Amino acid sequence: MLINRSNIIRLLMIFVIGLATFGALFPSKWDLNVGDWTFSRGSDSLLGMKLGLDLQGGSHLVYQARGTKNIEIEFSEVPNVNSINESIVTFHLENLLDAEQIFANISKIDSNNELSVDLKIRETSEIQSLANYLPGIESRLEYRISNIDDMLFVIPSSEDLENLKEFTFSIVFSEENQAVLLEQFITEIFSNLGSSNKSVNVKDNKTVIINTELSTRTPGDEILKQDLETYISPTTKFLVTDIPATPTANQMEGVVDIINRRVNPYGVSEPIIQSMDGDKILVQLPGLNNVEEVKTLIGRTAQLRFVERTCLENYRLVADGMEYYPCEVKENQSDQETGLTGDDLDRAYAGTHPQTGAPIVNVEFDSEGTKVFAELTTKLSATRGTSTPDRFVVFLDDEEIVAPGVSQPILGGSAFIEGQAFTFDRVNTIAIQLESGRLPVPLELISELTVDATLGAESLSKSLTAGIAGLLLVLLFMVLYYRAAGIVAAFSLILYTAIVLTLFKLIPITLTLAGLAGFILSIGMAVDANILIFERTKEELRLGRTLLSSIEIGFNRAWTAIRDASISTLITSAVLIWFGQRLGATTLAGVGSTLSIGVLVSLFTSVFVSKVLLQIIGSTFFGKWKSLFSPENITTSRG
Amino acid sequence: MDIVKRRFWYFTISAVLLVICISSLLISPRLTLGIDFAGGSTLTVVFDSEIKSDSVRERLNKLGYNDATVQQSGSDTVFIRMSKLEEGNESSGTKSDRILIEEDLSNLAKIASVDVATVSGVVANDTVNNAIIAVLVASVGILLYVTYSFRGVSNPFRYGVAAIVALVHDSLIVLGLFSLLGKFMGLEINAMFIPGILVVIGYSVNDTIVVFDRVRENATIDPDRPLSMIVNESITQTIGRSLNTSVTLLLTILALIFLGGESIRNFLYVLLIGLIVGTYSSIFIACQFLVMWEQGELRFPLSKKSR
Repeated sequence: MLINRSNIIRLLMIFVIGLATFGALFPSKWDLNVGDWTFSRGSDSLLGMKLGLDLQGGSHLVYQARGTKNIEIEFSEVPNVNSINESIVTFHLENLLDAEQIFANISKIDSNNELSVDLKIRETSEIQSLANYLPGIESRLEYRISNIDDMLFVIPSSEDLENLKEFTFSIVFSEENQAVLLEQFITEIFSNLGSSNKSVNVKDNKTVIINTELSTRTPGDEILKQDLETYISPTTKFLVTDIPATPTANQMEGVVDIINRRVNPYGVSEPIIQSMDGDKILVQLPGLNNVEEVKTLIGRTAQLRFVERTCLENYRLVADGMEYYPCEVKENQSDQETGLTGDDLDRAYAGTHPQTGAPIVNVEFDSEGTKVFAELTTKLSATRGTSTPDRFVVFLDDEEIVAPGVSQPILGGSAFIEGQAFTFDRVNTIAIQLESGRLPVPLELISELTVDATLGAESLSKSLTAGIAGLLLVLLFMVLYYRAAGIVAAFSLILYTAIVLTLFKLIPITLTLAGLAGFILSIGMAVDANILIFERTKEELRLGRTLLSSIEIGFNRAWTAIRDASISTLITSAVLIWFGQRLGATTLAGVGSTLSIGVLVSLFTSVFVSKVLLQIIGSTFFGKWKSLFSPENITTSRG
Repeated sequence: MDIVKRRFWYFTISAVLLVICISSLLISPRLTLGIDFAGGSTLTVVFDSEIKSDSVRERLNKLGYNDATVQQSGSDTVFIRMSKLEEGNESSGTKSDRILIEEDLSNLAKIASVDVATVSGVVANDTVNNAIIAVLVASVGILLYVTYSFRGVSNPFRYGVAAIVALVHDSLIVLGLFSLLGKFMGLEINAMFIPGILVVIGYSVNDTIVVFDRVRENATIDPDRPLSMIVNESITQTIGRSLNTSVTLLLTILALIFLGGESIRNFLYVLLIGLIVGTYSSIFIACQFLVMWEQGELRFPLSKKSR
């Protein structure tokens, strides 16, 4: 018998596997539904492969919960109350007047807590009169500097106002604790630099600790240092330490949830949004074009604050008497933190007014929030009906989203917000904004990879061409060098490629450029296995064995090398996958997973498929012609 | 052919190479780091028509991005590397750096597409640390496995150590050559460098094991022969396979370098160097190391050369 029976069965198996792989590869989409079991793979892409961002275009974003930084400052000398007061006035006047070409000169009056300020129009200035600026300066200084007791700010009569070039006023300060003053002043300097969310803590009069958000947008620490040295005193210590954020798993889950909700409207197919490594969030948006827009949206995770807004006065003094001074003017408001934040909010949702049917936003507080909100609303509703009704304002980050008045104390913790200009869209937006503000986890984008779709397609086609060319070169080399055995190797390599691609599609493995590289390398490993076997077979042939027994022994001898080499490659792949997942670096995991699948499949194709095929060919009349199987001429006479 | 006899020569060659590589790694800049490790941003901007990198550079400088380096890559494409692009801020109304740059550059010519990659310094540090851990873990895993798999021969541990010596030799040479290439040709190390090194390690071990496997087999057949003879014979028997495998892999890698995309080219350079060094080291380092250990010649070369 030329071919033994078990080999025919094996050949049949190989044939079926081959058919199955091609059958699985060519329909680009698979949708199977058997009872409860559904199986759906593939897409419109090439062979239905699941393509990574770098091959189909899209964005890969990694966010990290933003930490804070501590700045420890030690001043060389202790500034006294008077000099702090002086610096505060200088600081604010400089900020108020700098652009206006007005020059301020401050001189101290003997009395301990009084300053005299002299304002002058600069000589080069085009300004005719100081008159336009005076009321503004007075109210702003009063608003900004908390410990002003009184201001002697007598505006001259109207005739003199026309040509007023110089004006002197004095400020009387209330007694204030030095540390408190210093703390307020540093906070003001900080706010002026555009930094939000900070706490300033004066330990003793020399040492100050500032805790602030770590932000790339925060102006440099150098500017802060410079300002502090200009206005307070030279520093002997200025130490900046980064403190990483420690968000809870729940908070991170919530952030993932919010990002999901924000990304949804963009109709991204299969976005990946997951938290990783404790404080990071991975966002993958395949095929998205307007990344910048989405990034702005994602970055807006959001700190919700409820602020009490008091209206300061109804009327104010102007040049020709009193003028109505509405609460809507920024300078006429005073905001105070209530301590109520998004954390205290249970839920917020859009709805309609039970009687009028107008769009409203429902809010519900948790138990702690209910208490604070009850206090706040009791206080606010008392001012209702007066000429200066107070309200509360909801800030999302530093953006004012809604500022409702309060009609009655709300004690039960659930309320609704209505507004005349509210539309259904508007209340929806407000509800989402309120909800999203529940998480005090500011995010920072730490890594981004955005690939344009056309460039992705170009990469894919280039890699494909390269892969096919590489594969053809290898096959050509094998056939030329190993002849009949080379043809067998060529067949098993093609089958190998088909099986691996099928597995990629069915598992599914997301194919990235790096993954493709890993796959093409695994072809190299598969070739190596074949070469190992053929070289051993050749050696056995040289020893004068028959073809069939040479094949048998060649395979057995080569097996240990193939096994050990495969296992060590698998160890490397496992490390790559572990490393990649730990890091969220999909490239590494991509190389690892494609390489490991490749190695496992190559064990099957080289040790099983190649062997069966060689044995079958060897059992036919070709087997008598040994030189077909070896690059050297081996006479057949001894076989 | 007596390959083992000239073992001191191989070690001398490797020692010279290693000295060059290690010196280059010790002299700053050790490695020319891409944004994946150094932090920063890159933009690949494809225009609809031809563009000069000089005009792009000029516009970027005017915008205040003075650290931006602009490379021409194709007549209509420029590659920009710069410090980290900042995000916009909705509440203060600032636009993101990317939008600003895009708007400005579109004055030169219509922009067809923009690819962006941004990495902050924080990620970069993680990457390097994790890479070191990954290499160590992979090495230990391989050492343990080889020792286990060669338990049938005497001193199986030496085979594992020899494989690791070859592996360290290969990774040092790849690192060193990249350091030199970075110094003289500006070749940057990117994120794909680490998988590259790991694949090189995998290949190096793979190649070493094939030769060792033959040593194991020959040693089992006739345990009384001196190891140098056994190793020599094993190398002669496996050299055909080693060369053929290297040639096929070389063909694949070269095809990918010449036909594949820009983005994985650095990765392929790593593989190319690693393939050549890995093939060399399995025969001329790992095997010779084994013989020298057996013959008690290690004390001198180990302190001077093979490290």
